[in-house]
Amino acid sequence: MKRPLWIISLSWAVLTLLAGAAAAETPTAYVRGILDQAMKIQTDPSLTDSSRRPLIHKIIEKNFDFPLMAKDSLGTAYGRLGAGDRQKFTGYFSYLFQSSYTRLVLDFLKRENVQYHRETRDNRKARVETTIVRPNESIPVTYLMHPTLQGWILYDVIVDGVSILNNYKTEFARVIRTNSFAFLMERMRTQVESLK
Amino acid sequence: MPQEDKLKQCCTRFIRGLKIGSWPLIAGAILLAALAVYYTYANLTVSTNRNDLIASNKGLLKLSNKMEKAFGGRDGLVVVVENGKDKHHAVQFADALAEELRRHPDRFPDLFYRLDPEVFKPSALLYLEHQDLVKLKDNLLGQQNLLQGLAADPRITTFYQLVNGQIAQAMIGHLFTGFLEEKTAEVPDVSLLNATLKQLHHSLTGQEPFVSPFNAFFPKELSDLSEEGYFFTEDDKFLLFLVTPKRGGYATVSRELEFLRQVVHRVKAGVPGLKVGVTGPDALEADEMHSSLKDITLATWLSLAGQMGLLILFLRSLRRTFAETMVLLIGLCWTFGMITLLVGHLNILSMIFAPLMLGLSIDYGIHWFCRLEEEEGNRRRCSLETLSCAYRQTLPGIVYAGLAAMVSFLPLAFVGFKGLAELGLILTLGIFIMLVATLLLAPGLVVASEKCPSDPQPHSCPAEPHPFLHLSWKRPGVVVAVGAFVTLLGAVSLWQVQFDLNPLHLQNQETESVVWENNLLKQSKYSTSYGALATASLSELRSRSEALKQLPTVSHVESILSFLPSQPEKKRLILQELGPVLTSIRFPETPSAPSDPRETAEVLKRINFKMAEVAKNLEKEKAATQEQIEETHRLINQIIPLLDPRAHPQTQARLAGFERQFFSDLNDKWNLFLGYQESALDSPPMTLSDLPQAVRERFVSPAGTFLLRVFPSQDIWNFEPLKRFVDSLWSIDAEAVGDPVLLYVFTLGFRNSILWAAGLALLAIAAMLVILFRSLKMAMLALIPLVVGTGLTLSMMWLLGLPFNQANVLFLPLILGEGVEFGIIILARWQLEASARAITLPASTAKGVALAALTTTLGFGSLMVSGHRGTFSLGLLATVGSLSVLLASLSILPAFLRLMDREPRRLPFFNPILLPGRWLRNMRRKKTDEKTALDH
Repeated sequence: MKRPLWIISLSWAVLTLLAGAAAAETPTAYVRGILDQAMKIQTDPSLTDSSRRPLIHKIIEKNFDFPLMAKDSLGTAYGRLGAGDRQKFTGYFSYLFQSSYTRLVLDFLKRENVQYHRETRDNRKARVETTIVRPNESIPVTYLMHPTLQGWILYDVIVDGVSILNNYKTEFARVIRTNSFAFLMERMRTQVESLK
Repeated sequence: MPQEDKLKQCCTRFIRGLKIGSWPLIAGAILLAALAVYYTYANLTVSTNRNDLIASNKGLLKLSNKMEKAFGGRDGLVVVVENGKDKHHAVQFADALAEELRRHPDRFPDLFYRLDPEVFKPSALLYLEHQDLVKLKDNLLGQQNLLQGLAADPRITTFYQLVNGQIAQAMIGHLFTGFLEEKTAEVPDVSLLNATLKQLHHSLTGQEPFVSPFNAFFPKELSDLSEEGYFFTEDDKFLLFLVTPKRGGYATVSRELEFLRQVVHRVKAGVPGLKVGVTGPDALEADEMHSSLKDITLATWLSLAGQMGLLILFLRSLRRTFAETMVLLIGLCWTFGMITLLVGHLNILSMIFAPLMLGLSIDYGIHWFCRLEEEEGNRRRCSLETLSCAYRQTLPGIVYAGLAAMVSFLPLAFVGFKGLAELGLILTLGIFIMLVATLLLAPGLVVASEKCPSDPQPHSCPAEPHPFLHLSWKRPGVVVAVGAFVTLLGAVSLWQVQFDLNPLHLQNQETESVVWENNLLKQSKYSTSYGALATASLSELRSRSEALKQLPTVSHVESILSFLPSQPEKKRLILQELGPVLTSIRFPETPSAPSDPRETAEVLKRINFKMAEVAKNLEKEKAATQEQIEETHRLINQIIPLLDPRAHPQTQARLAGFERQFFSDLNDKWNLFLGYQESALDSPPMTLSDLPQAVRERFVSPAGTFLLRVFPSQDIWNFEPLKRFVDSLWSIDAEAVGDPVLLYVFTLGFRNSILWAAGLALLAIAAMLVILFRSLKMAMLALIPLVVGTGLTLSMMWLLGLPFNQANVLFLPLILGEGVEFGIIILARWQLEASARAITLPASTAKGVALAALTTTLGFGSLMVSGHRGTFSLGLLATVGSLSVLLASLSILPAFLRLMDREPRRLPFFNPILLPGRWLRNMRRKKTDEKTALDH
């Protein structure tokens, strides 16, 4: 009976520490920081398109929780995987996500007027609602994050009502249902290789 | 008595006889000509039916006639209406034209331009192509969420929100998980979005009327039947209005065509901005015929006028020009009489005989008159002695030239192609008659008009000739070498000059029927010409249709089956699948609540953001999609400012008005579609008896056989695609007929007959020359102007890019005849007279040859002013050919003769043998002499 109590106490202490670390920066400030960094790269005239790509890639790599996202995207199927498959899947997922998100940023984000709206917190998770506004154009983007020792980290982005993580969940489930997990892994591997 | 003396005696007697007999001879000739004209006027007919030209293929003609009797004689004229942006004007024109033409049932007994859409209404959805129905199903099922969402919250903002959701989902899916798709995800179809944006923009700017945006979603044909049932080409570019003119020959069809064009012009004035023309098989034939007749008439008159002008210029005598003209006219009348008597009719090929025959036969008189002039010397006055001398000295050359011309045309009379065979017979007869007319009447007319007393002083016959241009022919070898080079070049050119078999290339490209036929062919790949097959049963019709559709040479087939829904059971299954969606969704007639303009603007901004980015990143090859997306972007940019209620106070009301029309329209379309779906599932299947009478009588014969019209996928006016098309038709049914088949048989038969006849004519002429000259060497010499002239002509054709075609190839015998004629005329004198040999080429002979060639050049060369391409090419070839033959006759042949003159003479003097009996006796004697020599 002593061990669970000890574990609970330790967990509580860690969580409090994490919460404290995250509390050092507000979710909105965190998102603003990421977007500012990205826009600075995008608008730096000394950079070319090809030299921007690795810099954006680095920002994304640093600010998304890939193990969590990979696990969430597979849903219950993740639990049935061995350690090796999980590691391999997470590797492919994080590479593909970074590549796609880099493309999204490179294509969509320029010198933008970003409006920051509501910031909500729910059970330690935070949600920041923003809108990119241009003349006669706008797009709402919502950032979902949770705290870590180093601060906030993103685990999903909702673009104009469409969750990227949900999109993965739906599509992975469809492929596993109609084909198999092995088929999905093979497709991911082929795509990773073609991108490399 | 030596043969020369006999000839001299005969000629002298004939000329002296003219002194008292010229007037009776002329009167008799004119009387005979008058009788011939009367007989011709009463009995000669003109056959314009192309089928009459190809009698060699009687089986095909029989099949064609059978098909014509069972299904044919309809829709020979096609009024083509070029469709503007919408069909409305074309339809309006068609209705007005029908109303106008119905007032003349005697002239246009049948109009076929629309099928009553009400007849087909219950099965309307089953008439959609299978793939279109599948697309419609996919569209509806794919948009199920949007439709359900809209039915749950019927507002325009909801519609745009749902569309935006689809676009966002597609964008994220494509970007993050696109690699999982089997095929590359397409950008969502924005045609419905654009259609609604266009209408929204119209409404917000206060424009009327409301045009249903759902035509991009539901087939428009289903909702508005007022403009349905008309015959549009597959790409909707042209409306076709089929007219059957009163039955009859060329004259009737031509008259009705002219009247139809007048009516079309009148009706067109009431629908401004519309382009309309008349084409179709009957129109093409009538226009070609009209244009040909016009050009042949022009050819005849130009030929006559040009020739007369040259005669006056060269002969410097109106009397002699008049005499030659009289000879030609009287000879022409006799020829017409003889044609009427022996053939009875002219066809579309043989009607060109007059200019062709006149072009050659005028030469005989020319040679005689030029020689007469030489014999008269400086006195310039005729006497019986000079007449007799000129007559005698030119007679052999002229007769042999006439014979050569007849021999060049005679092989045509034996070809299997009836049109050419008749032309060959007519020309052979005509040349003979013109030769007789010249030999009898030319001296007679001179005696009658110039008196020509007997000369008190003895006349030296032949007179001392002057050399042509005082040429001394010092380096004949060089000239001969040039001739050899030109001939060689001609042989090379023969492989470069094409035989253009495309009949459309012959026609005046400005002719209305040709212009519209070309428009249909080029823009819509539609031809008014089709192959025709008949089947005994519906099952056979079905299997042949399927087999034909598989052929790459076939664009589409038409039969009675085209008017019945194809694969109805398969289509019903698709419609059944749609049932649950269609019945579960119901749209109200009005929106649930008016949309807020600001809310609508916000949604549109979101769509706009994504569209702008999608457009930037679209691949280049998706230009059509890019265009659509750019339109979306442009429309939204125009609409957003209009949705600001502060700047536009009427926005709220206009948006509400648009919203009401939008949902009322959606409700109508949805219910209509539901009705069509139910009737397609419930109504009994369409059968042949349900089809309109106009359709049945075109595709089902009274005997119960079924017609299959097969349309080519390529331009069959060109020979190679035509051959492939006809071969493929015959691979399915050996008894297939129709315009392309007839055209193929006609073209092939024509080309083969011409080539066969030309080859045979060349051999026959060569043989004739050997017999006449009794020397192979002399025969070859006589052919030099022809060979070198042909070489030069071919080289020039290559240089000018002038191909052989069905028009100009008919005038090749003219060039052939002239080439041989000039060779014979020059050689005959060269052999006959030592004085001529001394100077190689006497001036009067050269003048005769030059005048003969120039009459052809001027007479036919002036045809180059014609817009009819066939006539133009004919004029060009006649000019090039005549001048080439003339050049070869006056340069290469004399140079050869000069070279030969240096060799020791072994040839006998010219000893013309005019009668076959005498020729045979001569040959027998020669054999006996040889035998005696051998015996010794």
